[in-house]
Amino acid sequence: MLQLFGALRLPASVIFGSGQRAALGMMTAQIGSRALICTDARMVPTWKPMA
Amino acid sequence: MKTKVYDSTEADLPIEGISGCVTECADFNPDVVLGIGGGSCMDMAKCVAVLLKHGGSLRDYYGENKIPGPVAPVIAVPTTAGTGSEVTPVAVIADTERGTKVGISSPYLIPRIAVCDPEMTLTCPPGLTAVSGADALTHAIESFTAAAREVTPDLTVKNVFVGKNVLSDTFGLLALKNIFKALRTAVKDGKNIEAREQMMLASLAAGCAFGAAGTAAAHAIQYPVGNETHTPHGMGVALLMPYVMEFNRPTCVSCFAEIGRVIGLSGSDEELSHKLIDEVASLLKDIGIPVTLKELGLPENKQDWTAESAMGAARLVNNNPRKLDVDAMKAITRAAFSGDRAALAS
Ligand SMILES: NC(=O)c1ccc[n+]([C@@H]2O[C@H](COP(=O)([O-])OP(=O)(O)OC[C@H]3O[C@@H](n4cnc5c(N)ncnc54)[C@H](O)[C@@H]3O)[C@@H](O)[C@H]2O)c1
Ligand SMILES: [Fe+2]
Repeated sequence: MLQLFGALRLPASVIFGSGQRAALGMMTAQIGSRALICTDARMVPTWKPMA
Repeated sequence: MKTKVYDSTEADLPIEGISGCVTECADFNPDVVLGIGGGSCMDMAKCVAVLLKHGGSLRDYYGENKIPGPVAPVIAVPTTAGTGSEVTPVAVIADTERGTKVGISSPYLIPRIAVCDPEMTLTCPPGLTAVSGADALTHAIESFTAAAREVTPDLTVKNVFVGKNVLSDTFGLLALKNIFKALRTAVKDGKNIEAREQMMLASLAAGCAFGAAGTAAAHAIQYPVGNETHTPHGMGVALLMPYVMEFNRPTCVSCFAEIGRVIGLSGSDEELSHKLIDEVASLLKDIGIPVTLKELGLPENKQDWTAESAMGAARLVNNNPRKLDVDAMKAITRAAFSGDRAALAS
């Protein structure tokens, strides 16, 4: 039997759930004031940045 | 809050596109970078955060642990299920001049926040759902079966990927349980929100697992295959998985059996280790993943070249549970080319 060993390296917050994208504006505001959004052409027609 | 949207991210992330984004956005002077999309957009955000902070060329950072320090916080929002990039210490880019995809891995690349909203994946067409779900399947299997390292105090300091371990294992099994429950349904009925939820949970969990444990032979062989055939990453790794599993089986009997029980199979360890490979192959077939490298468009005379190039990914080769040399790699590649999995059986 090998000795137990574990390692995880993860984001400070991992949020999962339908509808949780609505939290993005608030979360972004907690850590910055100038947000660059990297996405592709497909997303833009439906997605509006939150103030 | 000021925002700027960069919406020209290209699939597979050619390196020029990344410098293009940085040039266009440097004046805006962002203090947080969001990546919203598939693996390509999330990896774009990670790379941009590196260049904004440390400058230079992305080539300076190829490989492991080359990023000198923390970068701007990244918020990753996946719209495929998927790469798991929202939680991983990796970005994969296409170095068009060298004609290859290259990985950058460093703990500094791990996003600050991951927001996984399964509704974002409702618009994925069946082909994309299949290929990205198959990538997650491969992440889960390769990390759960990865070689366990000798445990030393500097193991996690010197290496980004540290092999099989008890913490990544729980995420690997969570991923596999959900993939076998939901991937067929998600591909067939894209509006099924329950299947979408299970798949996004699975791809997230698979990312948590491989972000620490790492991947292995299937990922090593996909790099040259993808460069040669220009087929999606997920399609290549998934196609290779049953062949790699057949080669690895003698070393992985108890691991495969553990996965088999989690997905509801029964039998002895030995029986389960065979059944699991059949289950993986049948799932991949049902979702339309090709079965041979030949179908994928790999030229017949490139088989040995593929195996030799794959050996170059030393980190992935060493992470494979069963020891790999170039002859073993050639045997796997040839079997995958012709569809002769039985040739690898032992
Ligand atoms: N960083 C990591 O940990 C990691 C892990 C595995 C793979 N990768 C990389 O990620 C990339 C693949 O990512 P991917 O499979 O997510 O695909 P992708 O990001 O390359 O996107 C493929 C296509 O799907 C479209 N798309 C994305 N979301 C959609 C949605 N919800 N509805 C409809 N269309 C949608 C995109 O617009 C794009 O045209 C590759 O470059 C691969 O090498 C990275
Ligand atoms: Fe992958």
